[in-house]
Amino acid sequence: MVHWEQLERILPLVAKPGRYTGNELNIIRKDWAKTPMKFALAFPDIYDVGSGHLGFKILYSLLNGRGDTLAERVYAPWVDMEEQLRKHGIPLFSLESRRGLGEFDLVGFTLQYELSYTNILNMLDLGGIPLLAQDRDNHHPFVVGGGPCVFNPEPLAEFFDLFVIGDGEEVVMELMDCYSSWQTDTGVQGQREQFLLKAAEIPGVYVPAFYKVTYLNSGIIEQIEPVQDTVPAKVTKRVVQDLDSTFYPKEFVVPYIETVHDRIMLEVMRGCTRGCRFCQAGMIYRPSRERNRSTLLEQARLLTASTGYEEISLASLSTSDYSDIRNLIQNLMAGYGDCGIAISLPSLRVDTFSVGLADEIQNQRRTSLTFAPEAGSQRLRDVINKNVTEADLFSAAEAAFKAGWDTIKLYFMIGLPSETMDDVAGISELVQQVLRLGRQIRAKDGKAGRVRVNVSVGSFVPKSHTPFQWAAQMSGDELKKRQQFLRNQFRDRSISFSWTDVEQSLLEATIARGDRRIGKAILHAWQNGAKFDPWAEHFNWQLWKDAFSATGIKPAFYSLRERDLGETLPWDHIQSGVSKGFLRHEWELAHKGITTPDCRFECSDCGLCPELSVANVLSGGKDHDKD
Amino acid sequence: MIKIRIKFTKEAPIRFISHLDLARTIERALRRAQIPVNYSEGFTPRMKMAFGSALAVGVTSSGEYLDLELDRHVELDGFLEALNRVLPVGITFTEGVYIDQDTPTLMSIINRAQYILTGDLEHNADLGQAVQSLLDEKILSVERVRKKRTRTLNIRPWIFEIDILSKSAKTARLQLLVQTGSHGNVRPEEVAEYLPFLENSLQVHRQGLFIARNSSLSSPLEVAHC
Ligand code: SF4
Repeated sequence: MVHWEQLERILPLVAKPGRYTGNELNIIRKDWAKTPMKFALAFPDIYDVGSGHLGFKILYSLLNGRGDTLAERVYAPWVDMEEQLRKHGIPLFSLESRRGLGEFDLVGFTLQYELSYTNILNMLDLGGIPLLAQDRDNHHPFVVGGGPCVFNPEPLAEFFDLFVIGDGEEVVMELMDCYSSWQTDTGVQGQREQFLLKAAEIPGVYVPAFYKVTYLNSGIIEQIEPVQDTVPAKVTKRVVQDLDSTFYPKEFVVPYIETVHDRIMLEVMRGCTRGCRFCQAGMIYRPSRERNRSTLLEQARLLTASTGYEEISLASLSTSDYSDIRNLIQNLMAGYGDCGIAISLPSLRVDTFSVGLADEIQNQRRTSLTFAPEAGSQRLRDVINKNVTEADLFSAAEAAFKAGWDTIKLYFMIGLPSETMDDVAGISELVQQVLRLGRQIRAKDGKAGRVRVNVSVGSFVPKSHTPFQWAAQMSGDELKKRQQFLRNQFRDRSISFSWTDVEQSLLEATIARGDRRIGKAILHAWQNGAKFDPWAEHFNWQLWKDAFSATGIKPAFYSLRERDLGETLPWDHIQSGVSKGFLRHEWELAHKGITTPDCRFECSDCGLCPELSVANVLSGGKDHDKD
Repeated sequence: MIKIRIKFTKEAPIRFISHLDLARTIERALRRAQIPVNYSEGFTPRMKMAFGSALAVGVTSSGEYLDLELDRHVELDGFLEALNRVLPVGITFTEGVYIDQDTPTLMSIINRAQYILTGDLEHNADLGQAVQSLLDEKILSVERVRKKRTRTLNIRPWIFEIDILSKSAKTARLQLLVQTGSHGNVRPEEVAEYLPFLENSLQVHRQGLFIARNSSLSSPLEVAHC
């Protein structure tokens, strides 16, 4: 255990010591000695970034709700704190009981982003846990992974004991039951492998050590096969079908220091059925399930009372699609508008309906509205199945300017399959037209000078389990050329332009579709100092280039190569429920520029609902607005 | 318009949070306790709340103050009790009084701060001697950086008392009375710079904030009463 007195000496030497002190409102601190199972919820970035993560908030309350389990939070220390920890021989510790990471039974990491993988290794190391699963013994925790990136867990296969695929609420409880009976049956002397074998029988649990991967001479995978009889050949994701009866916290831990997503989040729905072909979340979180308004209002009541937060955010992949959205917003405003609590919408669909919603939330400050047309031409938007037209964008922008917003943020991607410079020029034209439109409208109040368009352009990274999983990533040179072109276009001082780092995208693409061999490069990069790779100030491409060449890995093989439709993909044994046939069909339609409609209204036969015996759930609101 | 002046403490478990964080934490507690606080107008309504003096990160205190504007009368004891039930460990509202609408703001009247400094002493240090020679100086200059400009200030006129409360061979406790507020401000670490404390060993506790008038000190609560 790390003593407070010990901590008090080093905290004055680090930035934002509030990251490490714990003691926040609503934390749950249980009796360490009397609680048989101990679970660490480990977030591979700093507290400021991770403490708002909704998935962990759910698991924290859910696990602590069990009498036999305690769950505590652990975040990556910032570099100054890491230096102090290493200097004083203090292990990375949990915020509740200040126990070293290595003292837990299970350490669960959420995998949100490929670039955070070096931080996972760093945290294991700081916690005194062997990095390779095969080096762990009975004294060490089991290292568990969950979150979106586990849909291709292979690059991390050697570091993790097991992965949990899909919605966590049910499977994590089954995992604890399994651990509990292993603990009582065999005691601590129990073989690690016995537990892993049992765990692998739980649907949705993937134990990488029980699978063998063989490769062809070309470097492409020959096959992925289980090496144990009781282990399934394919692991299918878990889905909780009914969100209304699914656990949701009544309390959130309320941080003292300023953090990302520091507010009440109501998860109005899970999943999205719009079917954008580049979007991994849209594929892996199917089907789309809404919560009932009455459930959400009750959650809002409990959470406002327990946290005192000043903001309620309606979270989901596409909140304006929630079928009862208008009534929900009206009810929340009527209930909380007078108590200084604001309602916020995280993302807006590109249409006037959504702007209308934002407009109804009067107490939301009119700073800016964000829309994501994603691509600059209709042709390319059809290729990616982003069912948004130029007319949609202009009418949405017009409605926003008329309602008093001065700043519009637009989000685009470059490097999409089949993209030409004409499509990129289309981005610039759309932006200029929105700016002109805004100036025309705001000129009526003499405020044309205030109009701003903030353009943010990301580089497309092909992801597993999407129709674009076979696509080649665009080369770094081409991406840079496009960024340069856009920089030249956006000279107007009313336009601000931001873009993502090309090398970071190359790394993300390499890991996102990587196989087990990539793990060696991640380890090598970390050993040479790579960490906090999502942070521009820490990202060091040279370290990674060295790591790839030292481990004989050619990043281009993973990122820049268009995959053959017949080849075995590294994640073929992980099933999202969406059939490979459907993805292939969508990939073909993309080539032809043919769109596929939202499957809430017309099933597009992705195979998921029959395969997993699930269905899309609309909460039954009357107010649904189809477009 | 109804105003309350509150005295509160900030103790060890949360001593590492900043002034802004503290303000936000108190706002949230007020909302949890459903206290009828008034809000400012505009798109981002803020609670009408004014603090006496910001407390630096790392410093604990047994005497902080804030004024709060309420929508209606509340019973004071019940108010304090309700808040203390929902405040996180480390913040306690100890006293409250109703104040007139035209009571001068805390910021405008508070001009003294009393601190207790605890720290490890350098080897063979003579603390008494060090305090005496500090007090004998006419000029004690410190450098402060503000908006990228460095200014040199003489803080000696703003140091009123330094008392050694206790002392052993290795550690010492001092009490310090200094100027604070808009007419001059001394940070306790600036004084400690002139004393033989070991690096990184100093703990600062604010005993209280006061109003000095005609050579006597009174508390912001007393002043509010008159
Ligand atoms: S099976 Fe049909 S309705 Fe279900 S998620 Fe797939 S496309 Fe949508």
